[in-house]
Amino acid sequence: MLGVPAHPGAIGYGLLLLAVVILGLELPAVRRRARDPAERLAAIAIAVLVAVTPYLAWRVVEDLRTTTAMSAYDRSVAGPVQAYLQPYLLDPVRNIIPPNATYATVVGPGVPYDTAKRAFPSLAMETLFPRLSKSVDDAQWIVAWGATPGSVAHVGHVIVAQRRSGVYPAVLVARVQR
Amino acid sequence: MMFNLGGLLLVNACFLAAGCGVAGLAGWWSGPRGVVRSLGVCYLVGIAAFGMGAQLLYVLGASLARWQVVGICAVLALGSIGALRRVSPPVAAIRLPTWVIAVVVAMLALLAVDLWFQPLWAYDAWSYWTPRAHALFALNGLDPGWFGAHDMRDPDYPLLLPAIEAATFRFTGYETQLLDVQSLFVLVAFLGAVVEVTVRLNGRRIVLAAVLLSLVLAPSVADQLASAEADIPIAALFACAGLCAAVWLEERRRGALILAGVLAGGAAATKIEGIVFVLALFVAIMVVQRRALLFPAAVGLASLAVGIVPWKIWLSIHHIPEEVTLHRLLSPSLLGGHIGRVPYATGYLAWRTLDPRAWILLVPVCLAIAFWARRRAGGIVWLALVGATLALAGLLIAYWTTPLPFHYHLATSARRVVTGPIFYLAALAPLLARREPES
Repeated sequence: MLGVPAHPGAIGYGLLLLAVVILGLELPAVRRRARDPAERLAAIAIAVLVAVTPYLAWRVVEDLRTTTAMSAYDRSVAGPVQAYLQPYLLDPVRNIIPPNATYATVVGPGVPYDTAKRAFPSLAMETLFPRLSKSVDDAQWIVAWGATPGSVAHVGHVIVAQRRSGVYPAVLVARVQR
Repeated sequence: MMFNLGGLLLVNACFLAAGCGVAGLAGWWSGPRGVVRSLGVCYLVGIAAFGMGAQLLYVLGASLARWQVVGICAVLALGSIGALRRVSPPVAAIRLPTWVIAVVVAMLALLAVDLWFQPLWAYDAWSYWTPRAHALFALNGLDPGWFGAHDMRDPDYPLLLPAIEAATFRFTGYETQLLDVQSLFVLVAFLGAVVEVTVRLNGRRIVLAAVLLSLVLAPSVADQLASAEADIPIAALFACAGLCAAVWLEERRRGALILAGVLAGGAAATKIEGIVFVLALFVAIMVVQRRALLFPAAVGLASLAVGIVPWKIWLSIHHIPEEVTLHRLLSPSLLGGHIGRVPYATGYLAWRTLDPRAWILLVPVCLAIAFWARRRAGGIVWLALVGATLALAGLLIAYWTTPLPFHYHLATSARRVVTGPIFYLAALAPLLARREPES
């Protein structure tokens, strides 16, 4: 879940402590009423589940506090943002590469986050849809992030599609010369 | 979004109608009361049948426009006609305590609200599953150029989930925020299937209560629903196939095993590990059955043939590389070369299966009940234990031979892929603790 806290915090630990107290109150009844091992096991599981229900419900409520505070735009770009990508990173590339052309993505060492490096080709597939991604050898265009198009292919004029922004390097686009 | 919710409900009503038809034709239910009791199984059968049919039609070049989606479901729904005319047999009531029903319903309602506001954020969801569905929807079919594109990860994964999502987009437009609500429908249907089969086979009420509460409260289930990935659907299909197999073992009605085959085929058409789950299920059935193996073997092979073979043929025709191949899984040199991965992967999978932060006490309790019931629950206990063990063993082989970085692959997927064996074991647990009939 997007908004569940990484650590329970004071409220979470308080609810888990409450779970221990509830469990302590439930267990004698479980022992009295269970007639065979299967029933005893199921009863213990139910006792534990009842005890932790407030904590588990709180997790969902915490998630809701985060997600209900998001704007429509935040929601629409949550995926790339979770992968440390700027969601608008490749928007200008749509105006450079024609819709029926093919492209190859190149990610260089200039990109600071591994997650972002791995997700960049997926962002390109989504943003540049329906353009087809190809290998560098077969593509008509190179879309480079943290690298130069000329390092992987013989290219013409290099266009700065997205300028450098903070730790994120520029996105460079160039047409392959064959 | 409210308007789109109407579209989502409409397309899911189509899947339900399709499933009612297929299950009715297989003799799973009879009469109007029977279909109401079987809505959970019917919905999952509908998802599996539509998904496999849609995959086949995409492979054959169809675009699956809205009228085609309705048409496929309408044809499948015709099977209900005969079943509605039959008389529904009396079924013993199983009454759960009101407070258990209240907690289950309240948690499902809370999850529904949470999923309504949940954006599409999980990596595999926004970067893989939904783009594939979007491509089917926007390109009006299966475009080999796009599905075989250089940057397409796991191009050999089959099409059931993208086909279901693409059908949903035909009714809602390209609305990605409702996809996790769709996952909730699958969970609710699965809970309904567990209740139905527990009632049908006279399972233990208190174990059913523990399983239902565990499934709606487990943090892993909530997290995975919010991710809108394929792991909850494949787990529900596999586990429901196990339930149908249990009914077949008890009642010997061929239709139950055929439905197990339909659901297992749906699992195979959802993710690569679905093939492992199908093999695990049908080997477990044959271990329990011991003789007259021809029919279960034929159903198992047919489920793989329908669920995965058309897709494999399409991949082969278009020269799209397959990352997971039988050769890779069984190559002695590869297995020997990576033997060092086995202990770590075994331990990691075991931990992810038992992890109380994800599943609370679900797995240890189910295993303990299975151990206690090993001499009294007949074939179902072995169906549960052998099926779940083989499914986990198949996952272990997948990690053993993975072409991806080993630790990265385990860390990013193991917590999700164990859901299949866990749902399977949990679904069968109430049947393991059945009381001996009183003389």
